[in-house]
Amino acid sequence: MTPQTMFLIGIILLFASLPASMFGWRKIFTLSAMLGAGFLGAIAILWHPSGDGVLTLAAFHLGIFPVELGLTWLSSIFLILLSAGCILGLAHGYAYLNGHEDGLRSHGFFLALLVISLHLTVLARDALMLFFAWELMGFSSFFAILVERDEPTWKAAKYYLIFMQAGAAVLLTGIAMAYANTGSLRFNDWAGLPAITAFVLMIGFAFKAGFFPFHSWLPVAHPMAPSHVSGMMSGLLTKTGIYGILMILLCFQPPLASLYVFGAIALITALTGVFHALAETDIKRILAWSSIENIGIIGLGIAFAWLGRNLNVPAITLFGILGALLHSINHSLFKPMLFYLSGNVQHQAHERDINRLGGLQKKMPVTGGLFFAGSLAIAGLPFMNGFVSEFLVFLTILEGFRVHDVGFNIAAIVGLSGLAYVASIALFAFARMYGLAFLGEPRTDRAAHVKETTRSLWIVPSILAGLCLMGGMAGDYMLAWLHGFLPGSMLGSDIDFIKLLERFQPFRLVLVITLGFFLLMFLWRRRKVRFQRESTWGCGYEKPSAKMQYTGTSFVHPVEPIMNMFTGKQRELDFDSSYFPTRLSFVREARDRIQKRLIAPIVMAIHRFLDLFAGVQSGRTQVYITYGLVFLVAVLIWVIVGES
Amino acid sequence: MIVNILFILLMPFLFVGIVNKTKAIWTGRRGAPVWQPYVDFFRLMRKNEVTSRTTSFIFDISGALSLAAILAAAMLIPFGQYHALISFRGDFVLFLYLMGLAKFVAVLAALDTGSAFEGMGASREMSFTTFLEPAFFLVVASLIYISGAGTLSELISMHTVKLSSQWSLMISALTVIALFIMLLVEGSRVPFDDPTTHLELTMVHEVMVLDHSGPNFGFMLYANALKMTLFASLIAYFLIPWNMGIAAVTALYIGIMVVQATFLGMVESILPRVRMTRNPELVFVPLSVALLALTALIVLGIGGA
Amino acid sequence: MKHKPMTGLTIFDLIKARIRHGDQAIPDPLKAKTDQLFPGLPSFRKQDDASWNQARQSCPTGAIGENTLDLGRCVFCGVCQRNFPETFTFSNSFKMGASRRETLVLDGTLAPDAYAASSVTTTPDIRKLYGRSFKLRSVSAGGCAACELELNASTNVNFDINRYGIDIVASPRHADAVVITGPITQNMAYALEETWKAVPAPKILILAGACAISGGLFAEAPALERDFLDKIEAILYLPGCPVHPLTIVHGITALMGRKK
Repeated sequence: MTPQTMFLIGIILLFASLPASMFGWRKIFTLSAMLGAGFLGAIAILWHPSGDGVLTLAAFHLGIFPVELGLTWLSSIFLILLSAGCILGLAHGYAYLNGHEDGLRSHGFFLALLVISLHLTVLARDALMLFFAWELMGFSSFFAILVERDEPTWKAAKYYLIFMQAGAAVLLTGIAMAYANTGSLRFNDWAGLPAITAFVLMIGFAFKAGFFPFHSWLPVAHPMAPSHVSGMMSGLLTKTGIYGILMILLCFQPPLASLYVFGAIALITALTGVFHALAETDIKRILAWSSIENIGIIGLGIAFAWLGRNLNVPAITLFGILGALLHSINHSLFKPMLFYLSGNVQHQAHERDINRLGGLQKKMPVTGGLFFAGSLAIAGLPFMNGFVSEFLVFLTILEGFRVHDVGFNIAAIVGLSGLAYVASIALFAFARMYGLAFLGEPRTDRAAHVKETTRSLWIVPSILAGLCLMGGMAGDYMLAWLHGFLPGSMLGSDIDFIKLLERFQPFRLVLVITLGFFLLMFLWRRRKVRFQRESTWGCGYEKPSAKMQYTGTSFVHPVEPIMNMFTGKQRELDFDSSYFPTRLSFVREARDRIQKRLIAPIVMAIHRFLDLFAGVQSGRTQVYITYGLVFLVAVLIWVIVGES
Repeated sequence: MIVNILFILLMPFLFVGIVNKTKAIWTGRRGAPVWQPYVDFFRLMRKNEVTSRTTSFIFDISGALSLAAILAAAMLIPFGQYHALISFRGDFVLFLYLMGLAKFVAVLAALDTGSAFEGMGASREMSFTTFLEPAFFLVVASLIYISGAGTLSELISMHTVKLSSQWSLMISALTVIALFIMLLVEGSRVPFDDPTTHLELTMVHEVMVLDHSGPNFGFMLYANALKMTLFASLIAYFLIPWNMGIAAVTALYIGIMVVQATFLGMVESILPRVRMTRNPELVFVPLSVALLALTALIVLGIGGA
Repeated sequence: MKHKPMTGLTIFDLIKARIRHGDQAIPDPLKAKTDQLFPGLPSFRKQDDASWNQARQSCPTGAIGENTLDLGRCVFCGVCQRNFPETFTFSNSFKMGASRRETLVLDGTLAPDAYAASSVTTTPDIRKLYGRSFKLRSVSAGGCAACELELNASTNVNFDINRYGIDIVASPRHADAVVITGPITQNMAYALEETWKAVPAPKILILAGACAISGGLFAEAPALERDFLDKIEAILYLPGCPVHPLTIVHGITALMGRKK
């Protein structure tokens, strides 16, 4: 079988899922979409082009524009990431929507469109196809969010759509500029783009990736989408932005200053993301903000990789690019997993606020255990994959201290301390998320009467957890595999890479020893000790209540001064000042300043502008006929005026 | 290798014992013998446990997992002239993250009990230590900058700082200060936390283990003592001149450890614990110290790799 | 950093102060000599029924029985001794702790030394487990704070119970024994129960002071709820009102099986 036939089969299967979803054949729809994604991903695994080569899969003309679909080393990596993510996302979506009835057909249709557009985005070898896929992705994900058609979901989806369109407009500008510069829409001809064009294109992609200050759509859109969609959006959709940025970076020689700026933006993105994740109390919003943090870490890896290229230190380039790519892959494993699991929680508890949850671990042991594994991964702790890629990004920056270049060293100081700070705050944020939602006593009735979900909702998260664990224990195999994709310009010397891989032997040894120690002590203790279950020690207090527990808000109180620099201070304390106050209320809210001050007004302005035309759509036949008449009259006048 | 294992087994509680003895003598008491923490540990190992009905598996695994992580981290640390059991380029990242794992589990175990005290302790513990990771990385970075070495054993040794340079003293002093403050925070000692306080509201680390009993509690105590010893050991290793005989190095190493424990006891006896809200500012010190050292190095262009 | 350790004091002042204070610890609390005025283990010789009954009437806690004197009830007020110096004498022996409630009911035959030698018994189990490390949790069950203060004082510079590996800990989960002071009021009954449940086995109950042992002056008070003691038997009784730190040191170290 040639890659071209395989591509054809994959595309046909993907498109076949569209009618299947329309007819409501959920099984067939899911299966054909999964198979299609699988076929496309298999092409990248089996025949990924080596070096700077391109594997053309299809080429045809659309009107006067030539359209080309194909693979490079970069798109191969992202294609594998996306198709694997789509397969698992579709499978979980199938399980998640069991029992839902309303609007499922259209949801399936747009889900299939989303899968198609994700694949087309990385397969596109020319700007036209890319832009088409980009727009399709925006629209299909907009509709895929809208399973629940209540007011907040509408609002969030509209916000998202406007945001995506703004990004697309920037991207289109960039494409037009590139066309003017190179006279071609094919990416192969785009080598040596002028910097300014490349920046515009990168900004367009940054909208989707969620880089600061274009990040504010993530925490708005993700919580409202059904969990499998938010998982896919967070894990996969944002990665197309990373893909685009990397692709553009490969097309031109970025000036040194711009790389510093890019690194700074990445660091600000990571810090903003992680502090909001620390401040939020809604599980899905925490996860969405953490996506922003992870995008920042990926960006930091990319920035240092290119800085290393600029300084001619191949080791830094190699580590940086590997770190960024590996973190992209890892993030697309643990983030969807956590989103799927938070969907399980929402499904059972009808609540996403960690201040109103608690004690879920005992009620939902499997979901909770998987969530713990996911928290380890997302906090970048050893044993799970998040650590390996964060480790690589750290190594990239630390490698920078071997080079003596003042500017670069200072960038490395800022990057290093920033990244370390982000990592430790992430530890804080995810200890908080898991600890408050799943441990302790249930804080509300809703949380108290939760039952474990059906088994079908554990399958995909457990697969993802397994992959995370494998990625954490056998990171070197993953790296060797990734290394096989890289072209010569990224490789550096083999010695660097061998040295990198050599670290993993002792690293694994330490982990195995840790596990050994743990099992030894744990099992010894379980055998020897007799346990007696009593209530938690509360100093003999007679009426302890679950409300006395620390909440998500009080948990972060000690770091509030620092947190407020990023999230803004929004607290209202209201009480009557008598000795025995009868009324007392305290609200603390984290709001994104960028969103509130900058983005929201713009979005609202666009919204209002569009509202001006809302009256046009009245829904009455007479009015539409009148429009037709008016149009005819206008044409008539135009013709007459033109004649004379 | 055997010596390393012996150090890991023997040092931590002796270190704590010396600290406690120093404190006892400062306050005019006779105090418990220096091996008392060991006796306490074995007593705990022989006891049964009371666990809260609120807790889940996290609480159950917390002690063993924290201790396992710290023990594994201990294998990355050099003792005296004995290099680390396992060392590889970039092992300091793993060292720090194993510490992080131990902390993560301990904090979750505290939240698992649902006690307001323990939640408070967990929150404080987490917020105090957020600055430590950057500080540690900056210390490591400045040593990498000077020496170009790659493993913790190579980095944290005096010979990386060129003794001939007039800046070596400054760099060494700043490194030691930064590491010592990390020791105070990680070991939850005064002025960040008072390990002997009996008032739950003022505790930080101690309050997180209020519900642990028996072996689970023993594991936690061991993990905490070991954590402190590891930082002390880094300092000792850093301060030993590299060109001495094995006997002299060992003697010096043990001497520096004892001096540190005594100094720690003295600090605890004469300093009051600072106000809780001031703590984050104090934790900022090692970070700025490390930053200062590194910036000085880079601006002056010292070091040659 | 604005905070100052101690105004105007340098580290040298502190060291000087430390040296000036010198060594205040009692070298060996078990061999300590108490003051002549210290009312320790009482002894008595019954003279005649009339004076005995008179003394019995005057005893505020009813510690004087038919032919006995109950150390567990005695508040060491000395009324009986002042009125009938020939019958009652208080030695200055502080070694009054006992392992069984019955031992506290003196029949007047045992000399202080003999009493001290046999009153507190230990078991091999306790000696093995707690011989060198013993952690206490104190429960102030409605006491007047005198016994609590004395318990506190046993950890101070002079008595330094710490040197035997004994500590008062912050959580019952970390403790091996519960020390009750005070007569156990209704309001403290639940807290006491909870504390006892929170201590991991094997655990020990210690009663310190007349109130804890017998209810003392409040024995008849309706506000007491001493059901707890019916369920759990204490294995160390430390009499006194309040209990003297030396009594505490002696009783507990003897229980731990350390040299007497």
